[in-house]
Amino acid sequence: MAQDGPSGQAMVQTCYVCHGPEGRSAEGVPALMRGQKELVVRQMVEFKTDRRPATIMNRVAKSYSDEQIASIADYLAGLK
Amino acid sequence: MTATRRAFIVGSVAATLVAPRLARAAAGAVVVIGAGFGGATAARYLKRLDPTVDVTLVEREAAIVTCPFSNAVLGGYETLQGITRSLDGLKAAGIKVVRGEASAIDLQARSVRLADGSRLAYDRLVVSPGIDLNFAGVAGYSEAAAAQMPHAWKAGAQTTRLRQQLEAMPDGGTFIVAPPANPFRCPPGPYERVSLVASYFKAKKPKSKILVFDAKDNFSKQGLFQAAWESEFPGMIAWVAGKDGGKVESVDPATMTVKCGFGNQKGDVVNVIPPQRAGAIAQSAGLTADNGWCPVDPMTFASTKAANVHVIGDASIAGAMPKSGSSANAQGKVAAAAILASLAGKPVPAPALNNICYSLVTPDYGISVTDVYQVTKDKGITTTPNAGGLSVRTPTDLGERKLEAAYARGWYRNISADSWG
Repeated sequence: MAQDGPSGQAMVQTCYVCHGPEGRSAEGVPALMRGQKELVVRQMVEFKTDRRPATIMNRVAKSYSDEQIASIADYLAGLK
Repeated sequence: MTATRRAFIVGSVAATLVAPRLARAAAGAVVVIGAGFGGATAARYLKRLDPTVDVTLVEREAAIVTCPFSNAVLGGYETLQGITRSLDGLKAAGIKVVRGEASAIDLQARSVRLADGSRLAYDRLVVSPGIDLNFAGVAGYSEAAAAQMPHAWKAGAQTTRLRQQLEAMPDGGTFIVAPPANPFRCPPGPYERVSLVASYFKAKKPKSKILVFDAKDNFSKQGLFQAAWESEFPGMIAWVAGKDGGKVESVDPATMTVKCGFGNQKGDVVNVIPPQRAGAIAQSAGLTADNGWCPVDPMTFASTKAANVHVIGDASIAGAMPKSGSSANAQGKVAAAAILASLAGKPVPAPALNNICYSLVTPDYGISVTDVYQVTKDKGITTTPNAGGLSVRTPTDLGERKLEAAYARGWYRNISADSWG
Protein backbone atom coordinates (compact mmCIF):
# COMPACT_ATOMS: atom_id res chain seq x y z
CA MET A 1 0.00 0.00 0.00
CA ALA A 2 2.72 2.44 1.00
CA GLN A 3 4.14 2.79 -2.50
CA ASP A 4 0.70 3.80 -3.76
CA GLY A 5 0.63 6.86 -1.50
CA PRO A 6 2.21 10.23 -2.20
CA SER A 7 6.02 10.48 -2.23
CA GLY A 8 7.95 12.10 0.58
CA GLN A 9 8.65 14.99 -1.74
CA ALA A 10 4.97 15.49 -2.60
CA MET A 11 4.00 15.42 1.09
CA VAL A 12 6.80 17.75 2.17
CA GLN A 13 5.87 20.23 -0.55
CA THR A 14 2.47 20.62 1.08
CA CYS A 15 4.26 21.77 4.27
CA TYR A 16 5.65 24.81 2.46
CA VAL A 17 2.28 26.55 2.53
CA CYS A 18 2.98 27.38 6.20
CA HIS A 19 6.70 26.69 6.58
CA GLY A 20 7.81 28.46 3.38
CA PRO A 21 9.48 27.20 0.20
CA GLU A 22 11.96 24.41 1.06
CA GLY A 23 10.81 24.84 4.65
CA ARG A 24 12.74 28.10 5.04
CA SER A 25 10.10 30.06 6.93
CA ALA A 26 10.45 33.83 6.71
CA GLU A 27 8.20 34.70 9.63
CA GLY A 28 6.27 33.36 12.60
CA VAL A 29 6.14 29.67 11.74
CA PRO A 30 9.21 27.56 12.65
CA ALA A 31 11.44 26.48 9.74
CA LEU A 32 11.57 22.80 8.86
CA MET A 33 14.56 20.85 10.15
CA ARG A 34 16.92 19.48 7.52
CA GLY A 35 19.37 16.63 7.79
CA GLN A 36 17.90 15.30 11.04
CA LYS A 37 15.72 12.36 10.19
CA GLU A 38 15.43 10.86 13.69
CA LEU A 39 14.51 14.19 15.26
CA VAL A 40 11.81 14.86 12.67
CA VAL A 41 10.33 11.40 13.17
CA ARG A 42 10.38 11.81 16.96
CA GLN A 43 8.74 15.22 16.90
CA MET A 44 6.07 14.17 14.41
CA VAL A 45 5.23 11.11 16.49
CA GLU A 46 5.07 13.29 19.60
CA PHE A 47 2.72 15.70 17.80
CA LYS A 48 0.64 12.78 16.61
CA THR A 49 0.26 11.34 20.11
CA ASP A 50 -0.32 14.72 21.82
CA ARG A 51 2.93 14.45 23.76
CA ARG A 52 4.29 17.68 22.29
CA PRO A 53 2.49 21.01 22.77
CA ALA A 54 1.08 22.38 19.52
CA THR A 55 -1.64 24.58 18.05
CA ILE A 56 -1.97 22.82 14.71
CA MET A 57 0.82 20.27 14.18
CA ASN A 58 -0.97 17.77 16.43
CA ARG A 59 -3.95 17.92 14.07
CA VAL A 60 -1.71 17.70 11.00
CA ALA A 61 0.49 14.85 12.29
CA LYS A 62 -2.53 12.66 13.05
CA SER A 63 -3.17 12.59 9.30
CA TYR A 64 0.00 10.62 8.57
CA SER A 65 0.85 6.96 9.07
CA ASP A 66 4.19 6.06 10.65
CA GLU A 67 5.41 5.02 7.17
CA GLN A 68 4.44 8.41 5.77
CA ILE A 69 6.19 10.19 8.64
CA ALA A 70 9.34 8.21 7.85
CA SER A 71 9.00 9.14 4.20
CA ILE A 72 8.54 12.82 5.08
CA ALA A 73 11.57 12.75 7.38
CA ASP A 74 13.64 11.00 4.70
CA TYR A 75 12.93 13.69 2.13
CA LEU A 76 13.55 16.50 4.62
CA ALA A 77 16.82 14.93 5.67
CA GLY A 78 18.00 15.07 2.09
CA LEU A 79 17.10 18.72 1.49
CA LYS A 80 20.14 20.92 0.94
CA MET B 1 -4.17 0.66 -7.87
CA THR B 2 -1.28 0.99 -10.28
CA ALA B 3 -3.13 -0.87 -12.97
CA THR B 4 -6.18 1.35 -12.55
CA ARG B 5 -4.05 4.42 -12.73
CA ARG B 6 -2.24 3.24 -15.82
CA ALA B 7 -5.51 2.37 -17.50
CA PHE B 8 -6.71 5.87 -16.83
CA ILE B 9 -3.59 7.41 -18.35
CA VAL B 10 -3.92 5.36 -21.48
CA GLY B 11 -7.58 6.12 -21.79
CA SER B 12 -7.38 9.84 -21.30
CA VAL B 13 -4.19 11.32 -22.62
CA ALA B 14 -1.98 8.81 -24.38
CA ALA B 15 -3.65 9.16 -27.77
CA THR B 16 -3.17 12.91 -27.88
CA LEU B 17 0.15 12.78 -26.09
CA VAL B 18 2.37 10.62 -28.23
CA ALA B 19 2.29 12.21 -31.66
CA PRO B 20 3.02 15.83 -30.75
CA ARG B 21 5.72 14.84 -28.26
CA LEU B 22 7.73 12.97 -30.85
CA ALA B 23 7.83 16.09 -32.98
CA ARG B 24 9.06 18.34 -30.17
CA ALA B 25 12.53 18.64 -28.78
CA ALA B 26 11.50 20.48 -25.61
CA ALA B 27 9.74 18.86 -22.65
CA GLY B 28 6.54 20.59 -23.64
CA ALA B 29 4.67 23.85 -23.52
CA VAL B 30 2.31 24.62 -20.68
CA VAL B 31 0.05 27.65 -20.60
CA VAL B 32 -1.43 28.73 -17.27
CA ILE B 33 -4.44 31.03 -17.11
CA GLY B 34 -4.55 33.10 -13.93
CA ALA B 35 -1.73 34.14 -11.57
CA GLY B 36 -3.59 33.72 -8.28
CA PHE B 37 -2.55 31.19 -5.64
CA GLY B 38 -3.38 28.24 -7.94
CA GLY B 39 -1.94 29.41 -11.25
CA ALA B 40 1.20 30.97 -9.77
CA THR B 41 1.95 27.81 -7.78
CA ALA B 42 1.37 25.54 -10.77
CA ALA B 43 3.67 27.68 -12.92
CA ARG B 44 6.39 27.84 -10.27
CA TYR B 45 6.32 24.11 -9.54
CA LEU B 46 6.31 23.18 -13.22
CA LYS B 47 9.52 25.15 -13.65
CA ARG B 48 11.01 23.99 -10.38
CA LEU B 49 10.39 20.30 -11.05
CA ASP B 50 11.48 20.52 -14.70
CA PRO B 51 13.36 23.65 -15.79
CA THR B 52 13.17 22.53 -19.44
CA VAL B 53 9.40 22.84 -19.63
CA ASP B 54 8.14 25.99 -21.33
CA VAL B 55 5.69 27.81 -19.05
CA THR B 56 3.61 30.82 -20.06
CA LEU B 57 1.34 32.45 -17.52
CA VAL B 58 -1.52 34.71 -18.63
CA GLU B 59 -2.79 37.28 -16.14
CA ARG B 60 -5.01 40.30 -16.77
CA GLU B 61 -3.78 42.27 -13.74
CA ALA B 62 -0.32 43.77 -13.28
CA ALA B 63 -0.16 42.36 -9.74
CA ILE B 64 -2.31 40.15 -7.53
CA VAL B 65 -4.27 41.59 -4.63
CA THR B 66 -4.91 38.62 -2.36
CA CYS B 67 -8.21 37.84 -0.71
CA PRO B 68 -6.36 36.44 2.32
CA PHE B 69 -5.77 39.36 4.70
CA SER B 70 -8.16 41.61 2.75
CA ASN B 71 -10.44 41.42 5.80
CA ALA B 72 -7.54 42.86 7.80
CA VAL B 73 -7.60 45.81 5.37
CA LEU B 74 -11.30 46.25 6.13
CA GLY B 75 -10.49 46.30 9.85
CA GLY B 76 -7.74 48.89 9.30
CA TYR B 77 -4.97 46.48 10.32
CA GLU B 78 -3.39 46.04 6.89
CA THR B 79 -3.00 48.07 3.70
CA LEU B 80 -3.96 47.14 0.16
CA GLN B 81 -0.31 47.51 -0.79
CA GLY B 82 0.59 45.02 1.95
CA ILE B 83 -1.61 42.36 0.33
CA THR B 84 -0.46 43.02 -3.24
CA ARG B 85 1.87 40.44 -4.73
CA SER B 86 4.20 41.28 -7.58
CA LEU B 87 4.60 38.93 -10.55
CA ASP B 88 8.33 39.67 -10.81
CA GLY B 89 9.23 36.54 -8.82
CA LEU B 90 7.47 34.41 -11.41
CA LYS B 91 9.40 36.07 -14.22
CA ALA B 92 12.65 35.54 -12.31
CA ALA B 93 11.79 31.83 -12.10
CA GLY B 94 11.83 31.63 -15.90
CA ILE B 95 8.09 31.83 -16.42
CA LYS B 96 6.88 33.92 -19.34
CA VAL B 97 4.28 36.24 -17.86
CA VAL B 98 1.86 37.63 -20.42
CA ARG B 99 -0.37 40.48 -19.35
CA GLY B 100 -3.68 39.95 -21.03
CA GLU B 101 -7.15 38.52 -20.87
CA ALA B 102 -7.68 34.93 -21.98
CA SER B 103 -10.86 35.27 -24.01
CA ALA B 104 -11.24 31.81 -25.55
CA ILE B 105 -9.74 28.33 -25.51
CA ASP B 106 -9.54 26.32 -28.73
CA LEU B 107 -9.54 22.81 -27.33
CA GLN B 108 -9.02 21.16 -30.73
CA ALA B 109 -6.09 23.33 -31.82
CA ARG B 110 -4.80 23.48 -28.23
CA SER B 111 -4.40 27.22 -28.09
CA VAL B 112 -5.56 30.08 -25.92
CA ARG B 113 -6.80 33.24 -27.62
CA LEU B 114 -6.18 36.50 -25.83
CA ALA B 115 -8.39 39.58 -26.02
CA ASP B 116 -5.79 41.30 -28.21
CA GLY B 117 -6.16 38.53 -30.80
CA SER B 118 -2.86 36.80 -30.12
CA ARG B 119 -2.70 33.05 -29.50
CA LEU B 120 -0.71 30.85 -27.19
CA ALA B 121 -0.26 27.20 -28.18
CA TYR B 122 -0.08 24.56 -25.46
CA ASP B 123 0.59 20.90 -24.91
CA ARG B 124 -1.10 21.20 -21.52
CA LEU B 125 -3.28 23.98 -20.19
CA VAL B 126 -3.85 24.92 -16.56
CA VAL B 127 -7.03 26.92 -15.98
CA SER B 128 -7.00 28.77 -12.66
CA PRO B 129 -9.42 31.66 -13.19
CA GLY B 130 -10.88 31.86 -9.69
CA ILE B 131 -14.49 32.93 -9.36
CA ASP B 132 -17.00 35.02 -11.18
CA LEU B 133 -19.64 36.76 -9.11
CA ASN B 134 -23.22 35.92 -10.05
CA PHE B 135 -24.74 39.35 -9.45
CA ALA B 136 -28.12 38.16 -10.70
CA GLY B 137 -28.18 35.67 -7.83
CA VAL B 138 -29.42 38.42 -5.50
CA ALA B 139 -32.50 40.32 -6.75
CA GLY B 140 -31.80 44.03 -6.98
CA TYR B 141 -28.04 43.54 -6.90
CA SER B 142 -25.76 44.22 -9.88
CA GLU B 143 -22.22 45.17 -10.73
CA ALA B 144 -23.32 48.82 -10.62
CA ALA B 145 -25.02 48.32 -7.25
CA ALA B 146 -21.69 47.11 -5.88
CA ALA B 147 -20.64 50.77 -5.72
CA GLN B 148 -23.28 51.35 -3.00
CA MET B 149 -23.23 47.86 -1.54
CA PRO B 150 -19.72 46.49 -2.08
CA HIS B 151 -19.13 42.76 -2.27
CA ALA B 152 -15.40 43.11 -1.64
CA TRP B 153 -15.16 39.42 -2.54
CA LYS B 154 -12.46 40.08 -5.09
CA ALA B 155 -9.80 42.05 -3.28
CA GLY B 156 -8.81 45.42 -4.69
CA ALA B 157 -10.91 48.48 -5.44
CA GLN B 158 -13.94 46.86 -3.81
CA THR B 159 -11.97 46.31 -0.61
CA THR B 160 -10.97 49.98 -0.54
CA ARG B 161 -14.56 51.01 -1.22
CA LEU B 162 -15.96 48.97 1.67
CA ARG B 163 -13.22 50.20 4.01
CA GLN B 164 -14.02 53.81 3.12
CA GLN B 165 -17.70 53.23 3.86
CA LEU B 166 -16.88 51.66 7.23
CA GLU B 167 -14.61 54.59 8.07
CA ALA B 168 -17.33 57.07 7.12
CA MET B 169 -20.01 55.25 9.10
CA PRO B 170 -21.09 57.06 12.30
CA ASP B 171 -20.71 55.41 15.69
CA GLY B 172 -23.97 53.62 16.40
CA GLY B 173 -24.42 52.66 12.76
CA THR B 174 -25.48 49.28 11.39
CA PHE B 175 -23.24 47.14 9.19
CA ILE B 176 -25.05 44.37 7.32
CA VAL B 177 -23.20 41.38 5.90
CA ALA B 178 -25.03 38.94 3.60
CA PRO B 179 -23.04 35.72 2.94
CA PRO B 180 -24.13 33.32 0.19
CA ALA B 181 -25.08 29.64 0.22
CA ASN B 182 -22.36 27.02 -0.27
CA PRO B 183 -20.17 26.56 -2.18
CA PHE B 184 -18.29 29.84 -2.40
CA ARG B 185 -14.77 31.26 -2.16
CA CYS B 186 -13.30 31.18 1.36
CA PRO B 187 -16.04 29.63 3.54
CA PRO B 188 -14.88 31.28 6.81
CA GLY B 189 -14.21 34.61 5.04
CA PRO B 190 -17.51 36.38 5.79
CA TYR B 191 -17.19 35.55 9.48
CA GLU B 192 -13.57 36.65 9.71
CA ARG B 193 -14.77 39.86 8.04
CA VAL B 194 -17.49 40.31 10.64
CA SER B 195 -14.88 39.71 13.37
CA LEU B 196 -12.25 42.15 12.14
CA VAL B 197 -14.80 44.87 11.45
CA ALA B 198 -16.21 44.26 14.95
CA SER B 199 -12.68 44.63 16.29
CA TYR B 200 -12.44 47.98 14.50
CA PHE B 201 -15.87 49.07 15.77
CA LYS B 202 -14.99 48.07 19.33
CA ALA B 203 -11.99 50.39 19.22
CA LYS B 204 -13.47 53.29 17.23
CA LYS B 205 -17.28 53.00 17.06
CA PRO B 206 -18.38 50.90 20.03
CA LYS B 207 -22.11 51.67 19.75
CA SER B 208 -22.30 50.13 16.26
CA LYS B 209 -24.03 46.86 15.40
CA ILE B 210 -23.34 44.11 12.88
CA LEU B 211 -26.18 42.08 11.38
CA VAL B 212 -25.34 38.92 9.44
CA PHE B 213 -28.15 37.75 7.17
CA ASP B 214 -27.02 34.33 6.06
CA ALA B 215 -28.34 32.08 3.30
CA LYS B 216 -26.98 29.13 5.33
CA ASP B 217 -27.98 27.45 8.59
CA ASN B 218 -24.39 26.91 9.68
CA PHE B 219 -20.95 28.10 8.65
CA SER B 220 -17.24 27.33 8.75
CA LYS B 221 -15.57 27.47 12.20
CA GLN B 222 -18.99 28.49 13.56
CA GLY B 223 -18.46 27.38 17.15
CA LEU B 224 -15.08 29.10 17.37
CA PHE B 225 -16.35 32.31 15.78
CA GLN B 226 -19.49 32.54 17.88
CA ALA B 227 -17.59 31.89 21.12
CA ALA B 228 -15.11 34.59 20.12
CA TRP B 229 -17.88 37.06 19.24
CA GLU B 230 -19.40 36.53 22.68
CA SER B 231 -16.13 37.02 24.53
CA GLU B 232 -14.60 39.79 22.41
CA PHE B 233 -17.61 41.78 21.18
CA PRO B 234 -20.55 41.03 23.50
CA GLY B 235 -23.86 42.26 22.11
CA MET B 236 -22.39 43.70 18.91
CA ILE B 237 -23.05 40.90 16.39
CA ALA B 238 -26.34 39.22 15.49
CA TRP B 239 -26.22 36.27 13.10
CA VAL B 240 -29.50 35.20 11.50
CA ALA B 241 -29.52 31.71 9.97
CA GLY B 242 -31.27 31.02 6.68
CA LYS B 243 -33.92 28.94 8.44
CA ASP B 244 -34.68 31.90 10.70
CA GLY B 245 -35.27 34.26 7.77
CA GLY B 246 -31.65 35.20 7.17
CA LYS B 247 -31.65 34.37 3.47
CA VAL B 248 -31.66 37.66 1.55
CA GLU B 249 -34.53 37.86 -0.97
CA SER B 250 -33.63 41.19 -2.49
CA VAL B 251 -31.64 44.36 -1.93
CA ASP B 252 -32.35 48.01 -2.75
CA PRO B 253 -29.11 49.96 -3.09
CA ALA B 254 -31.00 53.30 -3.40
CA THR B 255 -32.38 52.97 0.12
CA MET B 256 -29.58 50.71 1.44
CA THR B 257 -32.22 48.19 2.39
CA VAL B 258 -31.96 44.42 2.58
CA LYS B 259 -35.14 42.36 2.38
CA CYS B 260 -35.24 38.90 3.91
CA GLY B 261 -37.64 36.67 5.81
CA PHE B 262 -36.46 38.44 8.94
CA GLY B 263 -37.92 41.72 7.60
CA ASN B 264 -36.73 44.83 5.81
CA GLN B 265 -33.51 46.10 7.32
CA LYS B 266 -31.74 49.32 6.46
CA GLY B 267 -27.99 49.42 6.88
CA ASP B 268 -25.49 52.26 7.00
CA VAL B 269 -23.02 49.96 5.27
CA VAL B 270 -24.16 46.85 3.42
CA ASN B 271 -21.83 44.09 2.23
CA VAL B 272 -23.55 41.76 -0.23
CA ILE B 273 -21.55 38.63 -1.03
CA PRO B 274 -23.34 37.18 -4.06
CA PRO B 275 -23.32 33.55 -5.21
CA GLN B 276 -20.37 32.54 -7.35
CA ARG B 277 -19.28 30.24 -10.14
CA ALA B 278 -16.07 29.37 -11.95
CA GLY B 279 -14.35 32.24 -13.77
CA ALA B 280 -15.78 33.23 -17.16
CA ILE B 281 -13.13 31.52 -19.28
CA ALA B 282 -14.01 28.17 -17.70
CA GLN B 283 -17.66 28.75 -18.53
CA SER B 284 -17.08 29.79 -22.14
CA ALA B 285 -14.64 26.93 -22.78
CA GLY B 286 -17.22 24.40 -21.65
CA LEU B 287 -15.22 23.23 -18.65
CA THR B 288 -18.07 23.67 -16.17
CA ALA B 289 -20.85 21.37 -15.01
CA ASP B 290 -24.46 22.52 -14.65
CA ASN B 291 -23.66 23.91 -11.20
CA GLY B 292 -21.17 26.39 -12.63
CA TRP B 293 -18.02 24.72 -11.31
CA CYS B 294 -15.44 22.52 -13.07
CA PRO B 295 -15.40 18.76 -12.54
CA VAL B 296 -11.88 17.28 -12.41
CA ASP B 297 -10.10 13.99 -11.90
CA PRO B 298 -9.16 14.15 -8.21
CA MET B 299 -5.79 12.44 -8.82
CA THR B 300 -4.54 15.02 -11.33
CA PHE B 301 -7.03 17.92 -11.51
CA ALA B 302 -7.39 17.10 -15.20
CA SER B 303 -10.69 18.39 -16.51
CA THR B 304 -13.25 15.66 -17.11
CA LYS B 305 -14.72 17.92 -19.82
CA ALA B 306 -11.66 18.42 -22.02
CA ALA B 307 -8.37 16.66 -22.80
CA ASN B 308 -5.02 18.26 -21.98
CA VAL B 309 -6.66 20.74 -19.62
CA HIS B 310 -6.34 20.93 -15.83
CA VAL B 311 -8.56 23.12 -13.66
CA ILE B 312 -7.37 24.13 -10.20
CA GLY B 313 -8.32 26.49 -7.41
CA ASP B 314 -11.72 27.96 -6.64
CA ALA B 315 -13.06 27.10 -10.11
CA SER B 316 -12.64 23.35 -9.57
CA ILE B 317 -14.88 20.86 -7.80
CA ALA B 318 -12.41 19.35 -5.34
CA GLY B 319 -14.47 17.16 -3.04
CA ALA B 320 -13.85 17.96 0.62
CA MET B 321 -11.37 20.74 -0.14
CA PRO B 322 -12.69 24.25 0.50
CA LYS B 323 -12.22 27.03 -2.04
CA SER B 324 -9.16 28.64 -0.49
CA GLY B 325 -5.75 30.01 -1.43
CA SER B 326 -4.18 27.12 0.47
CA SER B 327 -6.23 24.53 -1.46
CA ALA B 328 -5.34 26.23 -4.74
CA ASN B 329 -1.64 26.19 -3.83
CA ALA B 330 -1.77 22.45 -3.07
CA GLN B 331 -3.73 21.73 -6.24
CA GLY B 332 -1.21 23.71 -8.30
CA LYS B 333 1.55 21.37 -7.13
CA VAL B 334 -0.54 18.27 -7.91
CA ALA B 335 -1.41 19.54 -11.38
CA ALA B 336 2.24 20.44 -12.06
CA ALA B 337 3.48 16.96 -11.10
CA ALA B 338 0.70 15.26 -13.08
CA ILE B 339 1.40 17.35 -16.18
CA LEU B 340 5.14 16.68 -16.10
CA ALA B 341 4.52 12.96 -15.66
CA SER B 342 2.09 12.84 -18.56
CA LEU B 343 4.40 14.86 -20.82
CA ALA B 344 7.15 12.38 -20.02
CA GLY B 345 4.84 9.40 -20.54
CA LYS B 346 5.27 8.31 -16.92
CA PRO B 347 2.58 7.08 -14.49
CA VAL B 348 0.65 9.76 -12.64
CA PRO B 349 2.21 10.35 -9.21
CA ALA B 350 -0.04 9.96 -6.16
CA PRO B 351 -1.30 13.40 -5.12
CA ALA B 352 -0.64 15.03 -1.74
CA LEU B 353 -3.28 17.59 -0.84
CA ASN B 354 -3.81 19.69 2.26
CA ASN B 355 -5.51 22.88 3.36
CA ILE B 356 -4.48 25.23 6.14
CA CYS B 357 -6.85 28.06 6.73
CA TYR B 358 -6.33 30.69 9.42
CA SER B 359 -8.88 33.31 10.36
CA LEU B 360 -8.30 36.34 12.54
CA VAL B 361 -10.93 37.41 15.05
CA THR B 362 -8.74 40.30 16.19
CA PRO B 363 -5.11 41.00 15.27
CA ASP B 364 -4.13 38.93 18.34
CA TYR B 365 -6.78 36.22 18.16
CA GLY B 366 -6.37 33.56 15.49
CA ILE B 367 -8.22 30.31 14.79
CA SER B 368 -7.65 27.67 12.14
CA VAL B 369 -8.95 24.64 10.35
CA THR B 370 -6.71 22.16 8.60
CA ASP B 371 -6.99 18.87 6.78
CA VAL B 372 -4.73 16.47 4.95
CA TYR B 373 -6.78 14.75 2.26
CA GLN B 374 -7.03 11.20 1.06
CA VAL B 375 -7.53 10.83 -2.67
CA THR B 376 -8.99 7.86 -4.51
CA LYS B 377 -10.52 7.45 -7.93
CA ASP B 378 -13.69 6.06 -6.34
CA LYS B 379 -14.34 8.40 -3.42
CA GLY B 380 -12.54 11.46 -4.70
CA ILE B 381 -11.01 13.84 -2.17
CA THR B 382 -11.95 13.14 1.44
CA THR B 383 -10.64 14.29 4.81
CA THR B 384 -8.44 11.94 6.84
CA PRO B 385 -10.54 10.40 9.61
CA ASN B 386 -9.66 11.27 13.21
CA ALA B 387 -7.22 13.97 12.12
CA GLY B 388 -7.17 17.59 11.11
CA GLY B 389 -10.06 19.83 12.02
CA LEU B 390 -10.43 22.95 14.12
CA SER B 391 -8.41 24.83 16.71
CA VAL B 392 -8.88 23.68 20.28
CA ARG B 393 -12.25 24.85 21.62
CA THR B 394 -10.88 25.94 25.01
CA PRO B 395 -7.46 27.57 24.87
CA THR B 396 -4.81 26.38 27.35
CA ASP B 397 -1.78 28.02 28.95
CA LEU B 398 -0.06 27.58 25.58
CA GLY B 399 -1.92 30.69 24.41
CA GLU B 400 -3.33 29.13 21.25
CA ARG B 401 -5.26 32.19 20.03
CA LYS B 402 -2.31 34.56 20.14
CA LEU B 403 0.04 31.97 18.67
CA GLU B 404 -2.35 31.23 15.83
CA ALA B 405 -2.67 34.93 15.06
CA ALA B 406 1.13 35.05 14.66
CA TYR B 407 1.08 31.83 12.62
CA ALA B 408 -1.60 33.33 10.39
CA ARG B 409 0.77 36.14 9.46
CA GLY B 410 3.63 33.67 8.99
CA TRP B 411 1.35 31.52 6.83
CA TYR B 412 0.54 34.53 4.67
CA ARG B 413 4.16 35.46 4.15
CA ASN B 414 5.24 31.87 3.49
CA ILE B 415 2.41 30.85 1.16
CA SER B 416 3.05 34.07 -0.75
CA ALA B 417 6.70 33.15 -1.19
CA ASP B 418 5.75 29.59 -2.17
CA SER B 419 3.23 30.83 -4.74
CA TRP B 420 4.83 33.97 -6.21
CA GLY B 421 8.44 33.78 -5.03
